[in-house]
Amino acid sequence: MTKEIEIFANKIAYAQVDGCGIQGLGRILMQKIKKPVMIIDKFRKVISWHSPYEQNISMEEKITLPSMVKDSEEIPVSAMIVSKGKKYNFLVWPIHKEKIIGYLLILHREISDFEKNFVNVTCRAVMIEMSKKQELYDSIQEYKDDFIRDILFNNYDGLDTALRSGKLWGWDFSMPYIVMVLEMKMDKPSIDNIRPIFEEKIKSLCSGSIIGKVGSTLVVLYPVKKNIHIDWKETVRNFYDKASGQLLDFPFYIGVGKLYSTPNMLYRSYQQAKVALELRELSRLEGAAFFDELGTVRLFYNQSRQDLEEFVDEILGPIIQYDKEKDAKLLFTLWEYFRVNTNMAVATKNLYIHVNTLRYRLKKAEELLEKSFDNIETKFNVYGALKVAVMLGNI
Amino acid sequence: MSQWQFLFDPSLCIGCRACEIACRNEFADKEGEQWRWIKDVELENGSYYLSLSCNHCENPECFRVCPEKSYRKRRDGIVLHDAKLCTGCGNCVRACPFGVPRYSFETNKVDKCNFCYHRLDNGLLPACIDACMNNALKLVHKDSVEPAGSFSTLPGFGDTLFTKPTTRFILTNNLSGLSEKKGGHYDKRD
Repeated sequence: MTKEIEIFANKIAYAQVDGCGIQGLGRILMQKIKKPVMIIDKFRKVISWHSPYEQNISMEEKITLPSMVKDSEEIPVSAMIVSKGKKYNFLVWPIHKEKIIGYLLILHREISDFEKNFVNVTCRAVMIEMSKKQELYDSIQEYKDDFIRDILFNNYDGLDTALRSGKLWGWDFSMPYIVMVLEMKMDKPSIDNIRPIFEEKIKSLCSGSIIGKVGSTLVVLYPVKKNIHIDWKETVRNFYDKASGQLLDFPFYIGVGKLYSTPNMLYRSYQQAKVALELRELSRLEGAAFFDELGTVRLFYNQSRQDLEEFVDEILGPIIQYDKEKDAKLLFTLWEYFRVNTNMAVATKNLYIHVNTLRYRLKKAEELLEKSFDNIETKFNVYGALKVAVMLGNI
Repeated sequence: MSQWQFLFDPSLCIGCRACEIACRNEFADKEGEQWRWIKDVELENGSYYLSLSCNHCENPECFRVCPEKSYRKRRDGIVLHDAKLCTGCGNCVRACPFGVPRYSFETNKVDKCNFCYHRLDNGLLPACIDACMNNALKLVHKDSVEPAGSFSTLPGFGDTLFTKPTTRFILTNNLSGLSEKKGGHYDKRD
């Protein structure tokens, strides 16, 4: 018995040396135990699926594992999986390194202890193959990221160098690119863990995109064909709506720079996208934030904090003081009122107050400021000061 | 790739200005320019010194506003300025919240601290760090984790809201006039 396992282990080792990959390992195990074998990565994507000829079962590209598989301490875990509308009973072996990096599944209710030995040998070999694959993926990503960073930080010698180096990766930098910066709304999960999911989604929604990681953000360069007239902002908005709808588990923000026709301006577009992203968060703007739609906020953001605080105090000082004394929430009411374009119906709904309460609060604010909101100058200054107050975290 | 950054300990700085002088000597060929300076920060209950220079920000404003593309950021995070491309328009001087890029009336161009990259690339410390006798100014190599116990701003440092400077501060000893705020940041003592 031990001899047979040793022969099988040798066969697996030689196959690995010959570069059979994960697919080959799955096939060898299937031939040995005569049962369907599936190997999936940590994102549940099917890497290898082999079933004996007589069974002829086909599977989807991605499968959903029950949550109990991940949490279970028992190995193998018995689970039911639905694929292409059919239910299958599987035995699941998690493939561990430090964390789970994939799963090996056998399409059968039971398996003998003797057969389990072959599965265990294969699991170890799959672990090595997956680690190798991950290392290769990481090093390719590292080179790609370095190159993208060089482009975004103007760190290259001349346009020709950028064009030539881009071609090595199959990227055409003679086209205009939209620069988008994506940041997760929450600190966890880290961008490294979910990058493959995002890359896959972005590439399916924006074909030809170049994706790189800079710090804790993902940068997407989306090519725009010169000879096709399109509303590029609409393209970005559609992308954001679709992507955020499909990646509900991973909510993200997006900042977008201006579209330049020459690639040597990508660095500026990238900086603009980052500013838009930062201000989006601070000014609580909805949807994708475009740098050229930030308006007056752009003029405020690189002023010193002291100047901004003084500005807010000069314009809204009496209201802030009144709020402090009476806890009247006038500042917040004003912000909500201006934010919805002075629409009383929407503002009252958002604030959960009666329209008369809103009218009273606005009147009180006018009295305190000794100015009327019908005056365009007052409106401009108050709205500007409110935006700055939001930026400074005062609202 | 790891990023170089300055780590400054105001509780060790005695304001001797050795860093300033070292910077001036290092770039003596550039008409006596110096890109590091000591700032005396006065608080109600005490004072301390800050040794300041370019913070090699994550979002450098100088880099964004320069119309001549004279700025670039190396893979190791160092923001470099190519004076050959500079026309002296002063956009970066106005944009930097820390007043780092400086206009030279000798050359009619702007220039700034380059982290002594010519020394770093040859395995040497930047001149200012090398000159600091009290080890108040240090060089750290940030990977993904911040240096232990460090914080990102101090009163007198400047705005860190948008440009995200990479310079970090640390306090080995207590500093009069400062109290610890929530989140590891320091503020004026109430």
